Amino acid sequence: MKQLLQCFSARLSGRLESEQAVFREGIDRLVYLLTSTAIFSWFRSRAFLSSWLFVVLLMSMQSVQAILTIEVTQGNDKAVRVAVSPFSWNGKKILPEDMASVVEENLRLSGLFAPLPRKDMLSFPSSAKDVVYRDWDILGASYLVTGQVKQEGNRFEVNYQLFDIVRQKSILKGKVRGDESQLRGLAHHISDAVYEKITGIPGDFSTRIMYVTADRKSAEHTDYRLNYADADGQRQREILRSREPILSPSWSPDGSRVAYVSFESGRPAIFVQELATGERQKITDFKGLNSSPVFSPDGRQLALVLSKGENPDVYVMDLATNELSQITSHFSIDTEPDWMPDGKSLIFTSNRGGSAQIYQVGVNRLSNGTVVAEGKPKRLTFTGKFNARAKVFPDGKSLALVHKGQGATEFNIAILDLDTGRLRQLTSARLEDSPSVSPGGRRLIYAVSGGKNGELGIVTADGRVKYRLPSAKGDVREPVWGPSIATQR
Amino acid sequence: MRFANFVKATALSAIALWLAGCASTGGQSTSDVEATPEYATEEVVIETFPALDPAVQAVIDSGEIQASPEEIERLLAHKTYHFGFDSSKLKESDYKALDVQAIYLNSSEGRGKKVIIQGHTDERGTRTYNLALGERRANAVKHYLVSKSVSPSRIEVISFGFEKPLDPAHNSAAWAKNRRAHIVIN
Repeated sequence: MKQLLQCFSARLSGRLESEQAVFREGIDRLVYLLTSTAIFSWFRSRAFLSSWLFVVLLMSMQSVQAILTIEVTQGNDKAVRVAVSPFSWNGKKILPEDMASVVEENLRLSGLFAPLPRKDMLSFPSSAKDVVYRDWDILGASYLVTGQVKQEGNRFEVNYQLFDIVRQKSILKGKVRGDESQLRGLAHHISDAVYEKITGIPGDFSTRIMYVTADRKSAEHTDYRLNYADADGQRQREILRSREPILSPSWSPDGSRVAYVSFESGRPAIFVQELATGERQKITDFKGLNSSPVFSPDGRQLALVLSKGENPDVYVMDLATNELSQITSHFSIDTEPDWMPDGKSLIFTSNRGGSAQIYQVGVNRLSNGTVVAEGKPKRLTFTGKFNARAKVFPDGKSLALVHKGQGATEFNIAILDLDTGRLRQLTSARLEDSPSVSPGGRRLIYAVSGGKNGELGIVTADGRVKYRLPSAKGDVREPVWGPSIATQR
Repeated sequence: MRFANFVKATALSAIALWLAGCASTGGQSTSDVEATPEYATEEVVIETFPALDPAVQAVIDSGEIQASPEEIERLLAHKTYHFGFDSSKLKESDYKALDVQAIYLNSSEGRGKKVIIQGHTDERGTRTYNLALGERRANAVKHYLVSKSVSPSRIEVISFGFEKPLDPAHNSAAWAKNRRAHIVIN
């Protein structure tokens, strides 16, 4: 709470002037997003005519289902009380999406907020003139969010406002527009704006997650699917379907492309696929491993793992020239690379010291396009018997990883502080894998297995709030958090 | 076991053929007999009658191993090799089976065949690390076969990590079953 207030006052003093600008920029982004959606539909119709492959990929993309649900397993009892009043609405039918509850759920799952139950509210204000501060104060709410939805033809316009109950004033006002299918997206945008206004940290609600589902029908038949969905598990879309394994998906920094490993030919190969068109390119299918592709921060290179029939080593491929540079060269296992945010070094898992641990190696891109390792790899983890699949936080100051302690039997998600070397275990299920950090660094998504079905788990980076996104059917695994949709180009 | 069945089947076929011979001398027209596919099939069995499974025969013919045909057949059928946790070290109990695979692959019968070695792990650890570990296991088998003069160019290694468990349960018995390398010869 104290931290929040500090954040807030820091924002007030330092960023007041820029607020209007930030707000306008947000709207511009949204307008951009809506236009790019139009372009997406255009591509879709084109692709439909041009190739059957795209037909398969895209028809499945149209099937919008909610397969993941949310189960909160641990809440935060020190959360800030916020009230989200049901949005008013001028339409005749019921509002297709309860936007206020989407906002409410987002704020709750961020771990910092405890939304006031709707049944406790004394009134449902939708604009400033209806707000009775005293009532909200009595109910213990520190903030109030209101919204008005208007429909004209197929277009919906939402005016929203955030009130500071203690200071008895409106502190944020905004307007977003979209069609019916975008109402959830608009609610996520409002959640981001509210979250950022109160905490000073950009929200991560207008983001997507990607994951693999595996539906095992028999020992010989498993249906694998690569999907993406909103960060709350809703609006799922399919990227690829196969009878053979799909692994280690990764987002391009702008969210327009994904890379993954597919065994569809019976052997592993790395692909890069354009989400809007479904068009894809095979990047590598060398003998042996083709594994763990991950885009560089500038999106121009792909770090990946090849064994070419011998030892697994980390390589970098230039996506424009397809030139391959070998980064590590060791007889042990080197795998699971990730980029530091500045693109100047890679971290990876290696068992060169006898057990799986995380190492870091500098990389330098020469003028001729090849990438070379700089210096010897440096070991980063020293606690525990097994540390693997590390992902760098956006600020480059810590790593999320899979950790097994000395004498422990569980594999859990932990955060390593790179300055102090301290390792902090976040979760405690039996088998956890594949941590991925949200763009703002506030939350982590990971895979939980060892029970009946594999599930996705989300935990706030402070460890306070945990929830699960189980799949309605089969296993769900290999989650990866995508970039903010608003930054898509 | 299978060898015994084979002897039985061959004996039965011989009797069938003998009976067929009786039938044809018993006044029926030869064209009728020829048109009956049953008899034609039985004849083929007799013509290709081998003393033993060709793979078993090839291993015996190599003279590199002293064992009964049944034992060789059992060793040839032993194509899945299990490993300890986080280990890619072959168990000594698997050496003999691998020796027999190598003898077969180097024999005139097996020389033209290709080998795919699949590597698998249990579910613990990370999926991507396990892909690498599965490859280590498959490579351990490959290196053993290569040390027994099987050309590496005939061998392909594919790791599935823990994507294809034999037993999807989450307990140590299932884990032990799933930590394996498996060879496919064709």
